[in-house]
Amino acid sequence: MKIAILLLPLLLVGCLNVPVAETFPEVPAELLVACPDLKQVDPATTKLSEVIGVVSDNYGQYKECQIKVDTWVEWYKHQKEIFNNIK
Amino acid sequence: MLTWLIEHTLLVLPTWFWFLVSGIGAVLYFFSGFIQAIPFAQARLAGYSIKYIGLALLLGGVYLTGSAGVTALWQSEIKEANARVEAAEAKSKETNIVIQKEYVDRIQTVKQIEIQVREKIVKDAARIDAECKIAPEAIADLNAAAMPLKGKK
Repeated sequence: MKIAILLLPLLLVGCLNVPVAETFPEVPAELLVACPDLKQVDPATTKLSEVIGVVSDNYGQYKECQIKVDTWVEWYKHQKEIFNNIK
Repeated sequence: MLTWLIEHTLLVLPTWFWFLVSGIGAVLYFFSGFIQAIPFAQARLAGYSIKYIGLALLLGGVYLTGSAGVTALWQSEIKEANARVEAAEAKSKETNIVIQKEYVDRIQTVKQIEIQVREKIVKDAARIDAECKIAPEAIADLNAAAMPLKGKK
């Protein structure tokens, strides 16, 4: 009985560590930059052209952030597909 | 600890070594009978010892031959898995290059449009401002809408 107990750990030979290391995929550096805040109009101005300028800049900022989010979604989909194909 | 020791022994020693151990065990077990037949007490005792040592070597050798086979199988699986991971990492990098290029191109297009619009506003400023004066309340309302969120990281 004692010998049998001593031999039991031998059964653990089947439990091997699997040294397969997967690294988290890199993200393009541009995507790691946070979107800036929207621009504010100078409260002292009375010119509509200045207001339109700031508003159009903010539209541009929105579009850039929209592209960033779209790219993140695209990046995620591609990386997920690659990850799923490993198995 | 024992598992680790066996695992690494299996990785270091070739499979044929365990065949050899089993063979030696079988030979010892077989010849122990002849030694036991020698009509001396010491020879009989030695025969018994050889018999059990041989049996232990035979059983241990057979067990570890199987273990070595399983280990070799896992090693091959690990090698394949590592190759798949390496291929995936390479593909991931290629995909990143494509995504990055698309991103830079799209941002460049947006920036070009922004510049064009800016130039147009500057050009039309005189006409835009000629008949319109903005009330301070309108600017305050617009700025309130564009106010950054509190606690934004």
